[in-house]
Amino acid sequence: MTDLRLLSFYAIMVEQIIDNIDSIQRSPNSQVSQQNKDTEIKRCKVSAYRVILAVSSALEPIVNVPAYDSKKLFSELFDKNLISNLNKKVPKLKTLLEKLDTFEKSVDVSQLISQKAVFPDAKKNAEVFDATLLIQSKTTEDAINNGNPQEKGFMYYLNDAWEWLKSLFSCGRNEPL
Amino acid sequence: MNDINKKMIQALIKIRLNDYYLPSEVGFFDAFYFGKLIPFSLQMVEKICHNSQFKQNPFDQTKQHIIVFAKEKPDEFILFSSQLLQYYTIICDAELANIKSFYKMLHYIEDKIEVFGDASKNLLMAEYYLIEMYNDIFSDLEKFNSVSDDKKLSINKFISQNRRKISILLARLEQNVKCTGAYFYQGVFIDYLYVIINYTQAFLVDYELKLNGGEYTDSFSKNRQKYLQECLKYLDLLEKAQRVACFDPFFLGKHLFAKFAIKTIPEFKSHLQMLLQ
Repeated sequence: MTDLRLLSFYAIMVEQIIDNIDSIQRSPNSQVSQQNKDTEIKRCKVSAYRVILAVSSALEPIVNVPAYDSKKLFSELFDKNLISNLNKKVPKLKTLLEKLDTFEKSVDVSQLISQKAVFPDAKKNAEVFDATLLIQSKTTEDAINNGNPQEKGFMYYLNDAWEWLKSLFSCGRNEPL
Repeated sequence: MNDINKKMIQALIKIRLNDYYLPSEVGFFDAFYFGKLIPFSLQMVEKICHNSQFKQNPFDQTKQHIIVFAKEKPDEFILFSSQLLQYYTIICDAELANIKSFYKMLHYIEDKIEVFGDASKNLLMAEYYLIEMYNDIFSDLEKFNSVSDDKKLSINKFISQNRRKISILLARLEQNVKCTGAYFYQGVFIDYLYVIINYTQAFLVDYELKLNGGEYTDSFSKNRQKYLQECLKYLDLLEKAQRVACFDPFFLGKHLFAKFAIKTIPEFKSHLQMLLQ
């Protein structure tokens, strides 16, 4: 059931991304420059791609498709019997699949997913992959050059309140705090 | 930064972006780049160790463990380095260090997914999240205990919401750890994470009881007992593998329970047994 709950969660994320793309596309050019629109839509595509991959991995144990065979996974995802079976379990799934279907038509997700099979061939994944890699490499390089890593510890350790914590654990059994 | 390091960073990020599917970039780490990867990763571990407030083995010892691990399990070492790189990047974020609430921290990291990448499968980040969750519960209880009885009701509502959020997120994190462990990593760090997960779950049960001012019902007791026994189970596994644990790179050279108040497995077990009585 956990995987199915995850799907429901992903469905909400996909809906939000699609709504976001819709609103960007509908916004008048006078308010947002075309270049900004394109950049923002590209960002949404990258997010959607990740969410869809997450859906793929969440579905993996359900549809029993081997890892990384994303193309096959998606063809099974859109199989009518599978949808019907899963719909009985997760009401949100139908909406998710409809949205994914619409989304696939609008941003050519099938192309992105088929690229996953040969991922990460940068030449074939140029637009989405390179944009992500560039941003993340830059952040990491900055961290390596100038970063100051800060780890965290359990608070009672810092507060030296272990004894207090032990007594807290006993509170429900009428032992003194 | 030199070109070699830049190329290694890109290769490690590519592996992460491809869900740690190693063959995609394994070709990149030939003898030359693999030889460079070891000091590159060690440099990050060393900086983390030097900044750390937690007692650890001398760095030379840690260094030797990591070098041995890299030579014995080169593929796993590449995956470890990929996770280490993301963890290092995130914990270097200056703004993050000032965020005290787990929920805000999670939102912050998720909002910056473009720059940090998806951290949900990162085992080092899983520990980071767990500590923050635990500390959040701890802070809430401190707040609850510090207010007068007439104000307890209003604060209770707020922290109950927080507790529910943590409960959901804890279940999600456990699922992620389970998937990631089965996926590419077979070491003892997973058992250590399960100890914290179950301990935090048990703490949540007690926390709920404390907020409601009630007595243990069968349901509370059963839940609490379940988590504490799971915690004991994973401690037993850790105890059997204790020698191996010293060599597990995910501990970044620290002792097993460096971030806990209790430092040894027997002490931890006796604490849990006391709670179970």
